[in-house]
Amino acid sequence: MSALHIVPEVTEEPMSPVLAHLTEADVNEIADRLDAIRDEILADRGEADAAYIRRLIRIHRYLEISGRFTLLASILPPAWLTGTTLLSLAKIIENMELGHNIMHGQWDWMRDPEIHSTTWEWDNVATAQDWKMTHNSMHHTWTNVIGKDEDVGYGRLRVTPDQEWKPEHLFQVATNLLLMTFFEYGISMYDSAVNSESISHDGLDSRKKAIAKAWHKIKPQAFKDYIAFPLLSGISAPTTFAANFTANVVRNMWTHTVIFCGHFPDEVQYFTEEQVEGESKGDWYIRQMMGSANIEGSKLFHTMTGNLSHQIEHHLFPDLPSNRYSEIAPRVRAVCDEFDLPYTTGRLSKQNLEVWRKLAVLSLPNDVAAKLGL
Amino acid sequence: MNQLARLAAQLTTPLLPHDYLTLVDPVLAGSGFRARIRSIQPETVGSCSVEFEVPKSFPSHTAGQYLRLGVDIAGVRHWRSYSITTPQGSTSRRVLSITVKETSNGLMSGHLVRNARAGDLVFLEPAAGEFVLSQEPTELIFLAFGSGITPIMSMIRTLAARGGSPAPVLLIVGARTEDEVIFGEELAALADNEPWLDLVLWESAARGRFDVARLDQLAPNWRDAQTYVSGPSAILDQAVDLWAAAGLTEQLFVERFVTPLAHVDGAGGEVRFSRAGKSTAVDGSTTLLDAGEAAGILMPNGCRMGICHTCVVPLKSGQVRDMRTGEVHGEPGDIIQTCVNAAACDIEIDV
Repeated sequence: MSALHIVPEVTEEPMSPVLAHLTEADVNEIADRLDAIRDEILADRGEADAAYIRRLIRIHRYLEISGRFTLLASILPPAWLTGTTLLSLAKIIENMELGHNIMHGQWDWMRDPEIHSTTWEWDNVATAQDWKMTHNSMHHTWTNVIGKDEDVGYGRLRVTPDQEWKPEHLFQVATNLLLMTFFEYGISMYDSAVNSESISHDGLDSRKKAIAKAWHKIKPQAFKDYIAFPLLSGISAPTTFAANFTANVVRNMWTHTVIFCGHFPDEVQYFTEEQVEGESKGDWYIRQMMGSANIEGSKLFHTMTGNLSHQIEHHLFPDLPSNRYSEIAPRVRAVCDEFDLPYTTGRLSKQNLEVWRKLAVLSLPNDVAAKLGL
Repeated sequence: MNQLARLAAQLTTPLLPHDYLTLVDPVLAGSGFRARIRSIQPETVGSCSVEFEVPKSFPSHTAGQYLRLGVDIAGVRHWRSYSITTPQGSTSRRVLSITVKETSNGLMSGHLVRNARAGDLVFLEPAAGEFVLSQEPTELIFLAFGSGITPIMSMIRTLAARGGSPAPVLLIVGARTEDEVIFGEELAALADNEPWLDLVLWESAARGRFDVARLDQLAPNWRDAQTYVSGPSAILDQAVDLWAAAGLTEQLFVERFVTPLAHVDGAGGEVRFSRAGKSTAVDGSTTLLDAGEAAGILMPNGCRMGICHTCVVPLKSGQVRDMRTGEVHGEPGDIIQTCVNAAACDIEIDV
């Protein structure tokens, strides 16, 4: 039996019934198979991959420049629409395929100091440093372990019946709408809060310090999007302001949707701290696969999600270059099929529906939901 | 101008204006010094001269100095030091050239000799090095072996461009055969036309390895001259000993191309934590993260399994072994994951 304590001896019901059939040898075999996929990609990384990320960087910069220039005439509705679209696309690519993935260290192997996890900063009010701490270290290591991975509901939302119900959850559909609209601010506040808790032993008012740090990042983005570019637009100032606000919101809603569809559809599993104690590499891999969900779509769709539509592959190998996830996805899925493990995937509409339905159902206490037959 | 640059940076935040300007001109607008290869000229078999036009802002070099050259090979940036072979002094076009000899398993030299093309983008660090031409008008002796001719070539060319040296210059060039002398024709022509320059060719295939003690015959007045030696370590060591024995160490200048590499066997070594100012001896199966923590160093850390890149620190010297793959890797300046790498030899990390 694997160290995931798939069938804990003390409880009657297995915590993760879908894993109950695996032997320790199976778990080790799964680890070997997945390691082999990783090693193969590592050995094959090269010029084409480097060209891919540099091309995406160029595309982002051209989109950003053309969007900003078009918006100088944003008083004309077609210019507003075109400019807002271009800028939204730019911000989405900058956030996901560039920022998220570069800060994961996916491109560190190139040894280009300008495309490196230690130097990259993104157009998001959450600072690179704070985000790398909560995201790369906490969320990716402790994926879906309740109490360890604060990304399970971001401390506000109830996304599994195993989380304790609180009255604030009654409004969590509205809370999530608000979070979706202002996602970057939500992440910034969340990073500040989590990181200030983890450093609060230094005796200083670290909460205050964390807020000051967040402000340091919020200010330049706000100045750029809400003061400088509107002013440069002259008579188009109010419409440029609106366009920039819209682009930020579009980016927020899109990233929020992709992330939620990657972790909160129905079949995704959550774990307790006891379950992951003494976890082997294979157990860890299995937890990553069970704790993530993919979204199906076209090649362009995958790029626009920063390849986080391959959330399962990303969670198995967070530092492999994102352009390789689609290539390894069928092989990962084959491993799941062979060992009779669920591989959660579906169209965006399906996954998104499940996320919102789940939030609605879990806004009620478990017994109430059960009585209502939900 | 500074005001304007600051305003521009506020518009491009979190990027910098140059991030956008590189779309137009990746050479001039990029960070650091960059250049494009202008031409690649074959020299001997397995060696070539690579010429590039450097930006105006690139600091000028002194004859004998080297520069660090960065090249992307298979998507990965590699850095090596190469002696500049162009003469010192201002030219209207800032063209610099280096000469590369392919070494066995030489990733960078192999790339430059065989695969690089005119137009390729390269990265540069300013010239450095203490192996430079003396300002005193004394007699000069140059001992150049193999590709060790490169820094000395810059000195000879500099002297020739100045219209000659005020005192005699003896150049002893060693190579396996005459065909393998880099700049052979140019040197022979110089020796024919320049009265101040004497050239001695030492073909080791026919005459055996050069023994520095032979200087007593080839240049009986060596004790009065300034001598520059460049080539394999064995000859350099021999020269250092001879000059030390004569009490003339300050008259000898030595250029070592390969810093004596630590013994890399993957079996651990002494780890130096430069900022903390501490050292600790570790075996080849202890991660640098564990070693640092055991030594009481405040090491950055995260997942401890090689996925999150929170624990990365710059490597200053030595090499490390990736405990997941067994690969021994690392060059000075590389950012390494301390949680999955062990020392492969004596190393220094910047933490």
